[in-house]
Amino acid sequence: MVMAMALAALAAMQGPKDALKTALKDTEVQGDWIYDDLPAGYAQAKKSGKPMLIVFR
Amino acid sequence: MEKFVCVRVVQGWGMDLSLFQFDHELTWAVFLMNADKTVYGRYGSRSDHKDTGKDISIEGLRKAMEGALELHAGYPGNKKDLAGKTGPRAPFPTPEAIPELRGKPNIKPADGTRGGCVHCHQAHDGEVWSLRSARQALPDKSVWPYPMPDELGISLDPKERATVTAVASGSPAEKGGFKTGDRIVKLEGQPLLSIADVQWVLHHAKDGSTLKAELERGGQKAAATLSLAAGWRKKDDFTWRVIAWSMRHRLLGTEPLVALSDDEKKQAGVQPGGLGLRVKGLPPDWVKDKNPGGQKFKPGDVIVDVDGQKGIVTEGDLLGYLMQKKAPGQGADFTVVRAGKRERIQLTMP
Repeated sequence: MVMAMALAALAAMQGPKDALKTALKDTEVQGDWIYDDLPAGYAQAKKSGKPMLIVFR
Repeated sequence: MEKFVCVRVVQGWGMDLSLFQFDHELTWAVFLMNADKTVYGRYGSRSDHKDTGKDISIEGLRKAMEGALELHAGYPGNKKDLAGKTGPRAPFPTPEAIPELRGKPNIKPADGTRGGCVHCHQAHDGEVWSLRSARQALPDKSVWPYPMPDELGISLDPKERATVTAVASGSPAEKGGFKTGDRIVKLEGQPLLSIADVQWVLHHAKDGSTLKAELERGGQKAAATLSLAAGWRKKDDFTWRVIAWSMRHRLLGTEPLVALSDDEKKQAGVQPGGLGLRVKGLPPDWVKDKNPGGQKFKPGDVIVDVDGQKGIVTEGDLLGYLMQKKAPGQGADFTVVRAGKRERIQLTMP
């Protein structure tokens, strides 16, 4: 219960993507990776001319 | 990695099911594609409940990525070869549009809570049960999706794109001319980056068809074929899949069934090669969506017959039969051996 309240409070302070990362322990996904945003990925791939690598997990 | 735009998708909410067609019951999957949504290839395969990593490797992923870069360099000149890598329009546009999934507590955008995340496997599960509820015929590929090439006698190296490590004697692969060491470059004209790409072609292949393969053998070009007999994909064991749980619960009202050994079958009065599946247990109370008639089974019962059907031997055979041949509301007659005596149990199918 305390843990759930702490996570909810943390989520309220963060943006939705950060809250998701925290909940899924994905905070290590950094650098050039685009997190859970396919439209941003398409846009960057069009701009850069690079192919896309999309991981579903 | 810097040669790609890398995106991590962690939820199924809003997923374009017509574009992102892959084996949705994987725990991890990769799409390699162009920004215009042309698919170069897929990566990620699984064929076992416990050993989830035996069909994938870092080396294999790297080679698939190298292959994607080659295809990207040749694009759009190779666009025609890539057309088959995108599937037909899916029955439902997104997971949240699948009727069977409506009302499930986790069918909402991921919000960082345990209850907020559409799971990829729910797309397959929901689609199959929605089609069944609508009394639409379930094709074999709905119940036995993304078959491994092993079902046709080809073992592939998970550290390569599509390199043959063994060809089973007497198999369609051997009859079609495949040899150990062959690198399958294209199948049905589609360039292959991975085992998953082979599964993609097999998933969409029709019974009775003959698939054409372009090979590289000892530095030379070669060719082979795969002839697909009727019902060939039913040899694939799908019971490792998450959907098998909903089939057991909803069709039978049981937990997984355990196959008897030949000796145990003999004791139960069943011929070797006949049906002999032991009921290990019944679902716990928290499983709400289950056949109430399953209470007629007792742990330890051995199912030895269903509807007098021949050829049903494995748990997959039994679940597949009930899914495809028994419409909602129809009855199924089971014979079980309980404490040495045969008893009949009738269930109404959901």
